[in-house]
Amino acid sequence: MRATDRSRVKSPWILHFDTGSCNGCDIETWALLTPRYDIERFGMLNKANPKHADILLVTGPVSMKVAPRLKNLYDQMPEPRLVIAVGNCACTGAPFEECYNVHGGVGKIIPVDVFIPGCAARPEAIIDGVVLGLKLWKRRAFSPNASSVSAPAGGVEVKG
Amino acid sequence: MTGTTEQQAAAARPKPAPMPASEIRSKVMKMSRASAQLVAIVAVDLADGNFELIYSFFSRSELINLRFTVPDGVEIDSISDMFPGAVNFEREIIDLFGLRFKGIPGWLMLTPESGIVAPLRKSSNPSTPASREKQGANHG
Amino acid sequence: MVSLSVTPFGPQHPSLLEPIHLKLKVEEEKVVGVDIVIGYNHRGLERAMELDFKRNIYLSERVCGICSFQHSTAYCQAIEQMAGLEIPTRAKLIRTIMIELQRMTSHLLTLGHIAEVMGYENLFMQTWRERESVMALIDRIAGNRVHYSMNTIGGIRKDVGYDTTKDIEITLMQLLPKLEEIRGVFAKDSTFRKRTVGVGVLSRSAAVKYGAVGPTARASDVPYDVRLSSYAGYGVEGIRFRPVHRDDGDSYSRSMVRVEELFQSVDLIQQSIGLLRDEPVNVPFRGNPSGEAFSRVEAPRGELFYYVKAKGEVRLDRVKIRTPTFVNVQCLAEMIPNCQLADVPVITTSIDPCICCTDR
Repeated sequence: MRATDRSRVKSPWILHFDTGSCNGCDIETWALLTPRYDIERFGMLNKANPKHADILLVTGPVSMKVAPRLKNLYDQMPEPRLVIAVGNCACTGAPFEECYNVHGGVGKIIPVDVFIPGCAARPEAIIDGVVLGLKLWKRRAFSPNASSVSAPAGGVEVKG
Repeated sequence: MTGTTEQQAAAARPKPAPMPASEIRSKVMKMSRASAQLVAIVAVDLADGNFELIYSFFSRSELINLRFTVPDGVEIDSISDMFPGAVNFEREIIDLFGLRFKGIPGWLMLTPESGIVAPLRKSSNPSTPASREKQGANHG
Repeated sequence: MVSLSVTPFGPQHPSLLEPIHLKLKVEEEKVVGVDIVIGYNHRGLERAMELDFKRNIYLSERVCGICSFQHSTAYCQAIEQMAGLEIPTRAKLIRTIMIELQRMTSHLLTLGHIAEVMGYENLFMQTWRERESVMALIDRIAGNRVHYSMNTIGGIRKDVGYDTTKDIEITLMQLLPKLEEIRGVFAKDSTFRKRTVGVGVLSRSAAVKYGAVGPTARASDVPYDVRLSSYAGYGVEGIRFRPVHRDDGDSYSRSMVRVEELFQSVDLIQQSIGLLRDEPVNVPFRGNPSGEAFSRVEAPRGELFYYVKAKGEVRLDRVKIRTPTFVNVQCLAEMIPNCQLADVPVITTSIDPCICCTDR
């Protein structure tokens, strides 16, 4: 693994964006920075600039007004990048699926690598999801065509 | 009964008949002189070509609801000169119901590109963006 | 020659949790005007809530994650009023306890957020660490940190036992000295005071003109608090309560109102626990609602107003939600002009904007 890959996996920088959620998952994402969950010990920092970020943490079912902004942010992020959809509404749009102003999940606008369910997703689950994403990166560093990571109920496992 | 004390009192009083739209400014002026606080402007589609506008004010520990009946297509007087906080309410009603207020622009919640028009009217059946795209692909 | 430039603030910004767009008109570092653009969070919930009145108990919670219990309380109160239901006192007091616990988490969140926005990371971490004790307590009571799902039409879904009330009392007793420390910092710290005293002043007349509510209004000498109207457990015999208010109207006053309300919440929870008696926690509700109801509760950000109209069917005729930030965000047009560009995040955070509530 090259030095840049190592540093990316050991210290990923996060960009957080809310696309119309109820804010529950966003607060839980911010709670990760605080002393009880403390993701800074994993080297993760919450950065504002999309060109500095490695991971895009998206919440919300993507309202119509915000969709172009989300696409813009995703396009600005340099490769390799990871997109993580946090919360039920970012995964599938539920419970706002039938609402008229909602696209229904982040996957309708940009490709998503990891889905974290929950309403609101617990901070432990978000950490779990980010670690799963990092495993996917490690896998891709060795075999660039790896596109999936599966996590069976008993534990986290990487298949390529 | 649950609810605030003034709600219980209000529920016990008989409901007054709604007033015509032309009286909006005169009745709201009385509220402004009494230093009332504007709580909300609620629009309801009565499904018979008319809309009911309820102006809720809080004055002297009481919630006062002024009801007006507005026919579709009529331009309604704005109260934003007396209550600057009314602008957002009126803009939202323009977006969601397709009514018109004098001198007030729309596009607070919705965008022109979204293709959604007056989604809260009983006659409109707003669909999700996915089904609108499918419809567009079928027709185009 | 002075030239005017327009600086965009948001919808993606490190100090903003939620998407809001402020177009700041700037002349040489001084902001002279602002255009507020909202609507990025608009999901169309008022239409979705017309579909099924029973599902709305859970959908109303998801309007906002920080004041979710207030939304479900306001909605259930409206349906109970239409049906003429009198809920048991125990249910009213448990609702009060959960409302005040949520108020504490919300105020601690805002206080931490405003500290973070002014670069005071240490205070942000300390405040949110104390917030985690309350979140863990709520997790033990309700089973979820964010959407409690404890409300039902007719009262509370499941009873709260003696062990749980003991747990609440002990947690709050352990939390009080830490809240005292936090109050000391917010009240006297020179860094905090320099960034907030005199910044973003909202005068009393402007607060009334715009219809400001909540701590934003109470800090500008408008003692407007819906809890005085005795909804839920606030009207129960034995509950004593007076709204906190200040008269400077600046960001410092708004933050101090929230700090004082933390202690008021602890007091209200302790009073409510003392008044709990052994009785059922809900009354049965059958059939469909009909009529209309106006329901108001005091959310952490201010007055939350629900209008529900029903026609005796499962579908509702109209649900209108007027949230506190919907009116408070308009006050930014009064507070931001004539401030420095670097003060804009502090002023925006001091009104405690909850954009998901505003846009629904």
